[in-house]
Amino acid sequence: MGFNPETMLFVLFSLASVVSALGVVVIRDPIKGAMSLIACFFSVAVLFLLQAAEMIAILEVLVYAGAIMVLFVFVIMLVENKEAAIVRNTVAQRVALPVKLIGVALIAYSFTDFIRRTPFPRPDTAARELPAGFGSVAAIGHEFFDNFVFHFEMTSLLLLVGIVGAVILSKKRGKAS
Amino acid sequence: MIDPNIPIEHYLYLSVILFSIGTAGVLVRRNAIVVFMCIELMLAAGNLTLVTFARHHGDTAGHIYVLLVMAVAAAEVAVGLAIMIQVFRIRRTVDVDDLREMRG
Repeated sequence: MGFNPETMLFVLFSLASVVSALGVVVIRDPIKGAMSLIACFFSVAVLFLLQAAEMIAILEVLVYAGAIMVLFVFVIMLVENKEAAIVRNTVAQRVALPVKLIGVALIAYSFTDFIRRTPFPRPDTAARELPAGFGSVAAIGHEFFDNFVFHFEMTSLLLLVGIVGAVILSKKRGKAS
Repeated sequence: MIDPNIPIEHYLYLSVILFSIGTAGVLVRRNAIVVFMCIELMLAAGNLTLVTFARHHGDTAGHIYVLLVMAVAAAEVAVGLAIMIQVFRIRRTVDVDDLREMRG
């Protein structure tokens, strides 16, 4: 594998995404963890761009790194509790941690083995050319409204239910209802 | 168009790594908000897989599924964080080890 720009970008941003993802898990302060997660989403957005998914990459930054993470940071600041730093180091917890990590390693191994054993058929070079405008807003819009109209309607229903649920849940209890 | 010269397996392995990190975070961390962020990380890893296969097959349907996942994630975060604020109002904590009413 030579040092062409695509390879360099892939290596750079895959490393960045893994490091920032580890940051989310390892960093104690939730706010710093949220910043690390934003960095991870930006790296993943670059990886989407490398795969010719321009609109998805833009949406990843707008929706995830923008809207969702702003919500997270808001709630972290609302919920920030001072006495959260109590470290309980019981025997059960000390036993549970390695067991959890072994479980995760087993899951990762089964996925990896599955990928290793699966032959991903490579189309010949003529067929590997992506269709014109692949990943553009127009292509996704056509696909959405030609073949996935029902999914689109269900998504709008889901978002409506989500909005109503969030409003009802965050109302103060006792007043009205 | 960018010449696809990175094998599809590389993206899939990266996706596995991100997903496993997210799973480890969900299991290990005790702050419920951090657990939520790790779930978002797992969803992003799934999205990466969908985009990878979409390009491998030259099929836009994978991008549609990513959009659907994003909508589900947004709804989930809105409702989940509202629940968390409500729990915090009542219990003054979001530590998943302290919230054990539903544990038998």
